[in-house]
Amino acid sequence: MRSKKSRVSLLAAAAIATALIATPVSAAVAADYSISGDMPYNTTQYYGTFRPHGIGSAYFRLDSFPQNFCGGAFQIALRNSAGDSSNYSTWTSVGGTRAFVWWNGGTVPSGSYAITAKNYGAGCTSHTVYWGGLLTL
Amino acid sequence: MKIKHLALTIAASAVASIAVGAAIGSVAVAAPKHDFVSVAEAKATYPSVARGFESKLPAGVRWPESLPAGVLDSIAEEEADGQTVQIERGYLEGLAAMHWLCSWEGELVSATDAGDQGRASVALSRLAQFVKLDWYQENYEDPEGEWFARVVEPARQGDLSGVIEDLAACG
Repeated sequence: MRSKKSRVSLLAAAAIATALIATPVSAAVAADYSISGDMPYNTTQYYGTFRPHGIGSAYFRLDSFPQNFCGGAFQIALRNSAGDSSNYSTWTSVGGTRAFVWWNGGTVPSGSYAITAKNYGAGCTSHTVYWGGLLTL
Repeated sequence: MKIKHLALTIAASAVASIAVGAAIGSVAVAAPKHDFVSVAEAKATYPSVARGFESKLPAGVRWPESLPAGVLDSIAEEEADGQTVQIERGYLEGLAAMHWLCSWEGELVSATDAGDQGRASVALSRLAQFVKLDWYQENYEDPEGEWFARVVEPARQGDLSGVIEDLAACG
């Protein structure tokens, strides 16, 4: 005969197990990557490192970019193994909100992704700027 | 006079210290060196880069003769917007690696659908070797082993859902 306490424990264990099973795999394996680059103005760069992504959201937080430096803007996109890109982030100027989620409330399909970054609309054509941030896939 | 000279010396030392500090600071935030090539060079060299990849494709599959259409389209759009496009040399190797990966994933699904266990076994073995490739070790960032856990481990248990999901991104 089981006690009420053991039945409660069993129910709790079952609830936890159900919750674990229901949790998407991608949520458990999301990884953070610190990424950065040096970029001349009015340049788009295709980077060579690929990283995996399970189904789910992907994020980027821009942590470093010269604020309002010559009016330059910065954008970043994911590029899959076929070379097709996600939508670019929507920063038209830096200094405001710097976090971005791909893509527009939807999810990023599973696969391997590289980064494309671009810098445009700037007047200081002789300058190279450093950018850096945290990518979560 | 001596006091003025001393003050100038201290001031000069301070300026030098600040300069050194700034230099150290800039080193601390310097981006990793990326080796970029022009679009023309990328287009010209990609076929040979792909053919020189370290591991073979499945029988009947060829290396591409040009960059993927998605890449070419995006480059054209960027250049039309007045952007200078730079392509990291490693990206070309990465595209070749992705072609290799997609080809073996396709081979595994195709062989499984055809009930050809021999071909499927070879394809699965090749897929498992992805994480052993020199290219993977140097250019694929996956500290948690997420790709292997999502694609290869289930496939070894007969579950190809991870492989099929990956294939969808191959275009």
